[in-house]
Amino acid sequence: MISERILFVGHTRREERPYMDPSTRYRCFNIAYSLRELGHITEVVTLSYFLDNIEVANNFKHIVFHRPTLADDRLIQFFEKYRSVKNLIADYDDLIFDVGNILNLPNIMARDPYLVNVSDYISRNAAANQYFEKFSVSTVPLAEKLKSIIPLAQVHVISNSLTKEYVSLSRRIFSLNRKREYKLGYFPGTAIHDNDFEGIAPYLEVFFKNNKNGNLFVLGPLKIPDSLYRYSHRIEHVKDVIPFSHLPYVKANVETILAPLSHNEFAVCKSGLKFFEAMPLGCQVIATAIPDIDRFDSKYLHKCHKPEDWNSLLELKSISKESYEYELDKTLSKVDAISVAKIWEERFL
Amino acid sequence: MKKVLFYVEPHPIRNLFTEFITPAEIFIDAALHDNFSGIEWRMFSNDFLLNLITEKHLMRFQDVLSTEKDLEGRVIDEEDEDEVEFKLNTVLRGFKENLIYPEEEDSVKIHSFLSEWNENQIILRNDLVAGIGEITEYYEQLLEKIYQDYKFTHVVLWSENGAVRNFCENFNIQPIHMELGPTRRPFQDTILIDTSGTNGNASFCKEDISNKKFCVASSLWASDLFNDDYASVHEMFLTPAGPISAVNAHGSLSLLTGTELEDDIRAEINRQAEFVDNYVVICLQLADDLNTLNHSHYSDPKHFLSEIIPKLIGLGYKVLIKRHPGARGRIFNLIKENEAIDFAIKISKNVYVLNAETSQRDFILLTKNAIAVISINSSVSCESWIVGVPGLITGKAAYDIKDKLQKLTSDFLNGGNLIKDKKYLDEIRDVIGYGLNNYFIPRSSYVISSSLAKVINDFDKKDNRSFANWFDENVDIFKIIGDEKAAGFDREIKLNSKHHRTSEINFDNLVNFAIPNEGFYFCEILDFNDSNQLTIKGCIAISKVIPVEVFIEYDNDIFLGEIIENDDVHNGNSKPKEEKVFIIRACSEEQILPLNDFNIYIYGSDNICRYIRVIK
Repeated sequence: MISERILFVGHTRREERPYMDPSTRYRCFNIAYSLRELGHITEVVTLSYFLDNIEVANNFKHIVFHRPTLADDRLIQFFEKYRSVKNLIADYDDLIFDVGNILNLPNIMARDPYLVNVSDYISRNAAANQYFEKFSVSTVPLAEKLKSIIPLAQVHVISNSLTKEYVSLSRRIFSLNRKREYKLGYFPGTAIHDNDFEGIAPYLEVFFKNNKNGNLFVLGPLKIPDSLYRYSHRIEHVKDVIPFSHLPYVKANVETILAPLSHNEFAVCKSGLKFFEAMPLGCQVIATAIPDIDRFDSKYLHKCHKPEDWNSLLELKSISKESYEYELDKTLSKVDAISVAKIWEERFL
Repeated sequence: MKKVLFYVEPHPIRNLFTEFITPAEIFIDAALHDNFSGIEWRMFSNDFLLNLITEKHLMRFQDVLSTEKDLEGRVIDEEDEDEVEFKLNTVLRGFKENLIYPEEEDSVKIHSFLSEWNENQIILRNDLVAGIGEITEYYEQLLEKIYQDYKFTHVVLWSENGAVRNFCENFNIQPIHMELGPTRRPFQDTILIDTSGTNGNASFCKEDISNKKFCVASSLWASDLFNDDYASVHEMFLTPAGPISAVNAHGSLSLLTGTELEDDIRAEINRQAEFVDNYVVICLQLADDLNTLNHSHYSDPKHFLSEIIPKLIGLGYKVLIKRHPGARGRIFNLIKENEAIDFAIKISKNVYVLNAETSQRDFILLTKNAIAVISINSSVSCESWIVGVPGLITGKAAYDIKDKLQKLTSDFLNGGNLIKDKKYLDEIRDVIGYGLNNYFIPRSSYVISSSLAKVINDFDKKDNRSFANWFDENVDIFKIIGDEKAAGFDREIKLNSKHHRTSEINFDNLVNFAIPNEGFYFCEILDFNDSNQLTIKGCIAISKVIPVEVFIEYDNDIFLGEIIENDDVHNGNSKPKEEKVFIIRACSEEQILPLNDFNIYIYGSDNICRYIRVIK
């Protein structure tokens, strides 16, 4: 394939270091790196850099807008001028363009009781979509959702993916065979997962009651449900989010990672990242079986289709080390960065 | 017990007695680390350097003290100042005990070596490195003098030194060389430890790695996966490059680099800046650098450029020269570098010299489209392999096994096609990858102290294996990094939980050994409800001792209370603010029986658990 020039425009508030925004890292940097390895010329800029230096677009034939939003006239003017000249692609990793569904957003009334900010934000995303014919999205349900809103859209699923250095470091950490201090781990990256976690609190209570040595490590902002307070001495809760660079080492200290999600339309569209980031470290994962989780079949994954399935907390057995490599290959066949970039190449170039 | 002498070059180098202060700091960080415990150590150098390292150590200790106070939220008062002074004096005494100053007559002698840094001084210094001449004999005799009082088993030194080598051979002492590794910030910084030497003398250069395995992709060293407090190469690499300043035979200009642009884009760029493609980047090193002088055939930078630029231009490449950032501050080097640049620029208009202030980010962006990066044996030539650009060397380097890289360089400069041989390039990438996985260690005091202690304690020179081979089999870099992260995280958890960890408290013991409160804490129950689920709300007035945990025991189970920092439970205007409100809830699937009388346990910051009997 001939070398193409591709620009990724990431939408993040982290102007100085967009790489530190997990969404930009996964949706822009990881893909751009892998496409570069496949021989293309790629760059990543933030949306505000792009708007201030719009001439940067001259150097590129293909431009990916991650979470495009019409918050600035200059972007509208750019789209008007270039929609038929450049190969423009909109990229989504969350359901943030469905105006009709705003009322169903989790915690919406607490976050924005008069629907002022959220409505404005989502409608600006939805409005941006009119300038695109091509879309990349992170999961199948997100693709279906987009198709239902824009039937003529050419939507392709580009999964979140793991870079070779993340995988090889994880494999190396796994090979150290270190003792894991915690039976369970929960890693909420943002402060919106209280309800998700509360949903599994009854099962955790039973787990603590029946496992005198059972302990839980929580990293990130979370309100520990009252019902678990009596087990505080077996719950280590670090509220600050730690740097990405520490995570593989911290996760490798946990036997089983919990990935509960409340059942709603937004959760259904989410990525199965919680599983495939953890598996290379040899962590088992118990996860609500959203479709992007359900596409994996692994000894390391325990899918919960209904709430009672969380009782599997009590039945976890350790996995023989012999099956690790086989399971890792199986996982990577779906999320290896180069394979995902090849799919991107086929669909969009 | 192993006894180490850290030998920090006492001889004046580059007109300075303190040129080796950074190595001295690296040694001190390692020696003072817990990982180094069980090894006795001393440091020898000239008096200027030892005084400076002492001052730096005290300043750092002062910072630690004030950070601790900040964390405790304490205000420094007069009493504290006395305490700080006492602590500083104690630290100073302890630290100085490890320093070996030259005797007065030796100090005078070392001071007398200070002379203008020029070719003559460089020759004398090289004699010292080679282990010949009067200066070598003098420092050997100085080492013997130290040895009479302190029978060390190992000498740890920076780079190479002939006096140390001769002395170690004569007295059967193990030398351990350390040096900066071949990756530097914004790549992951690395360090080399080797008993054989550094650069071309490093044992790694002679290794056979054909049957060796390594696991972690080299690109990790360009990412933030070890450390994220600085912007890594991965972050910079995909950002757009703007025009950068340079000069060529026609004078100053702005240039933009790239590859294979379409004509209209190229024309557009040429309007803003000169577009340069099909180029090779040459990185200069310092004229007096031991690594280049003793590990290549070049006498100075001009000699180096005069050999390679005509070849590159002849092959049709454009050339971009990067000056050494350290030359500006070292006058001898600056003059030599300017001579080289003046010469190079006249060779062709296709020779461009980058502005001396070119940032690291701009430099990295510049290399990504280069055909190759060439240096004598600089770390940049290793780093460029990590980002996928061949890094070539014309001298000997620690990361070049069996001169494979030099062979590639020679072939490239003579118009050969080896640079297009994927198999050959992959073999070199494997060497770099293997070195980063198993030989060069990340620059952190934890990893350095742990690895160095292992070498001191366990390496036996009678071992048949090469040092690099022994190191690979005995030091697991990733295990040490894992230990370091675990220790760091443990510390963070402790700070997070205000110096105690609930999970570490043995509550059964607290119950068994609790003493009656007897008015120690003023505690009041604000609400009590056991009709459906048990809820007890109360408050405790804070005295000098702060309640850390409040709990009850019921049916052989501990029910911990939640201590609320902000008073959001009761509207008690009449209550003093200095109090802790707590809530104990016992909600379980089981029926909680009504309580008639029970104990509330309060575990305080004095590590004593007191109980208060509550009768309903």
